[in-house]
Amino acid sequence: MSQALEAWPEAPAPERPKPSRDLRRPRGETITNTSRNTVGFREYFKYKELFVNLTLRELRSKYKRSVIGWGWSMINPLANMLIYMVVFSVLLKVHPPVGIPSRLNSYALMYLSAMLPFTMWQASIMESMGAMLGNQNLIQKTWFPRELIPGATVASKVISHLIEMALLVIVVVAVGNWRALELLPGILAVIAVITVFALGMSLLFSVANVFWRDIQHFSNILFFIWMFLTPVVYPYYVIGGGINGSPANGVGVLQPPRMVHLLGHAFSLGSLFKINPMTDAILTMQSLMYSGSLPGVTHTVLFAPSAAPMPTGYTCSATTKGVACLLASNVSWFDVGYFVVWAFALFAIGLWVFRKFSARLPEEL
Amino acid sequence: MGGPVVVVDSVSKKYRLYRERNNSIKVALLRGGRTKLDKEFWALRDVSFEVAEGSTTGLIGENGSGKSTMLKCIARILRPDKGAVTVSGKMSALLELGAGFHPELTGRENVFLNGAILGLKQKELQERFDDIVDFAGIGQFIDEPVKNYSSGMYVRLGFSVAINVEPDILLVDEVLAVGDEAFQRKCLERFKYLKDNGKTVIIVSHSLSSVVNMCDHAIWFKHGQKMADGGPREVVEAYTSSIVMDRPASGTDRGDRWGSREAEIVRVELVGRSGELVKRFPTGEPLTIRIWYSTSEPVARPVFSVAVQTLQGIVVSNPTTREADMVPEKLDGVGHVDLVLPHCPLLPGTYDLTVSITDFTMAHPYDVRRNIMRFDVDRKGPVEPTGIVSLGGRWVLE
Repeated sequence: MSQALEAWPEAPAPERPKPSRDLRRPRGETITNTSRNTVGFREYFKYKELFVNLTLRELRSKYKRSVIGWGWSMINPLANMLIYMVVFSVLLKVHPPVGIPSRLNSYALMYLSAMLPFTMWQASIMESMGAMLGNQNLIQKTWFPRELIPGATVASKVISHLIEMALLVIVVVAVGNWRALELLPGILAVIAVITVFALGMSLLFSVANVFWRDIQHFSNILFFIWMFLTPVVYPYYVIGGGINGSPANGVGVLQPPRMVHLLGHAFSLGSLFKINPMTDAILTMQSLMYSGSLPGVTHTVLFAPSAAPMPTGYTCSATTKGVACLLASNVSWFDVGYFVVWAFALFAIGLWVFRKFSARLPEEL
Repeated sequence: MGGPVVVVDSVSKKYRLYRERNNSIKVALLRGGRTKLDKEFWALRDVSFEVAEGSTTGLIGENGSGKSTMLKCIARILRPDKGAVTVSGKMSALLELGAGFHPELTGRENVFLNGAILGLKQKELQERFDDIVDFAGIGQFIDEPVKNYSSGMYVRLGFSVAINVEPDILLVDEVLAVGDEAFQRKCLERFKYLKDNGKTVIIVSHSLSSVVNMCDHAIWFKHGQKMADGGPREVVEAYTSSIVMDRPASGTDRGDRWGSREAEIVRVELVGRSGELVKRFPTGEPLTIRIWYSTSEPVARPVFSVAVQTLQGIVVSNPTTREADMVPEKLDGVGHVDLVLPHCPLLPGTYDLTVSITDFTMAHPYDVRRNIMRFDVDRKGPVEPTGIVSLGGRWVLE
């Protein structure tokens, strides 16, 4: 009997109840969905692959089934440039500004270095509004941080913009502004700040447009006016003074800044336009790309002694070689800072509004 | 099964209903800054339940009962107005197949996009890409734009990506009802695989039989409230009996009817033990199903058939005179055909009777009376606790 018991195999130790969750996989984090906002900032980073994919979708689908394809992203700005060149340069005989110190004297390059960033900014906002409505199904049937939709739209715009700007830098360097290469970090920084501004505006407008669809239609007018309040299609000297490219003397004609009288005070028109942050952004870009100068630099420009009377509104002195005038850059470091503050403030406001209202998107779309 | 991975704690969800969905600034300004709410509609009211790890839970209820809203609250798509949903683990929601598919992009490009939406890493997607394409049966069309796909291919590709996500918690809304039969079977296998691997599945379904078959937990919603929560069979039974009660009682002329009517089913009777007509009888009693017919012209080789169905739509039995080799050469006039059951093996419950006369091929119906009669089987004496029929077996103990 006892032998039989000994031969009996030892009973296996009772298996401990498996903590199945720990063995099968690392436990994912716990997410609580309540009426409060539950999208953590850290979650944005978890969705970076979706962000990349959504951006690629925007880029890929844009020119599918068109013969010229990506060519259109070049043709469109060039066609616009030709139209404005005919209107302003040929018909209205507006002289292009002269880049100091680059000595560039081309309406086309002035226009492109302003219009490309402005269009990127505007198209980001307009297309973000459209993308929000276009991705209705995605928003109603899946969850991801909704910020990705305007985010991916802006990203796709910035990517095309970078390609356009790279080509523009090549052209500008080829025609004589070699400083643009030196100033490349500055150009990239301006693009970055404009992107922050565009993202903030896109977040704000895209979520607001879901609640009030009028915003999309109203925006067409808003951005058209905004473009004319920004020196994009006309040179800045028209409002703020500077050298134009009229060949009256060796370099050009020094235009005095225009003054306006408001409430008994005299303001320069240029400073009023600079209230518009896009003016500051575009002037900074033009300064780097077209004039080849950092903001806030004063250059001495020499005019031939036989030139017209001493220009007013500038510090000039007669020298043996001619009249030397001190010409400050169109844009100061203060203007740059002003725009940067605007961009980040709008980004903060846009993100706050978006986070506050995006939870209701599936119901409101 | 482990502890709860989804905890729904007194969740309420309100929808805003606008008389006219006029989202314009003008309207907002005219109404003093707020778009006027005409009505609030509580899609969910104070719902609480828990879903255990590794379980398959079915949410059932009529349209508009709040079950899909519940699923969206779990999926974070909607935010509850009150209460909280807590989910632990990687969750992926399958509310629509191929969500985010762009028609102009190729199947390949869309797989990567859709996978990213469902939370798959690009590396995982690359590893599983061949599986996904195989499972969907798309083959060389994977590099075609998806707008050229048939709707079946589109949905299969979407499902294929979704099922490869392997989340800890999978939320599914009604998507099983897609694709051909072979694909549906593959899907069911895949659900079983997920289940066997300890994944949690929450499914919204109108198919009560699949809830009974696949789920081990069911929750019934009605008007945004939880009515029952428990084993799928009991919950489905409670739900179906409430539908029966809600349905207005009608005579024998209920249900659908179609056919060319050369021969007609006039009436169906259930004849009990002592020749009386019954609508309610206990398990194991003798029963005769009597079909009264009349013909407007002589009909050659007609086939009578009877189908007994549960309320969940499961066909219990479908005898016909054809396989019994009882097909008359000609049917003319008025008469009746009896199906005699010495001991009706149906277990307690409610059943629907469908009766038809067709031609010999059974392709041409003379008269089909779907759900012509509903009858109840009563509990009398000890019967098997669950199931549909009693197989009538005998226990032998030695």
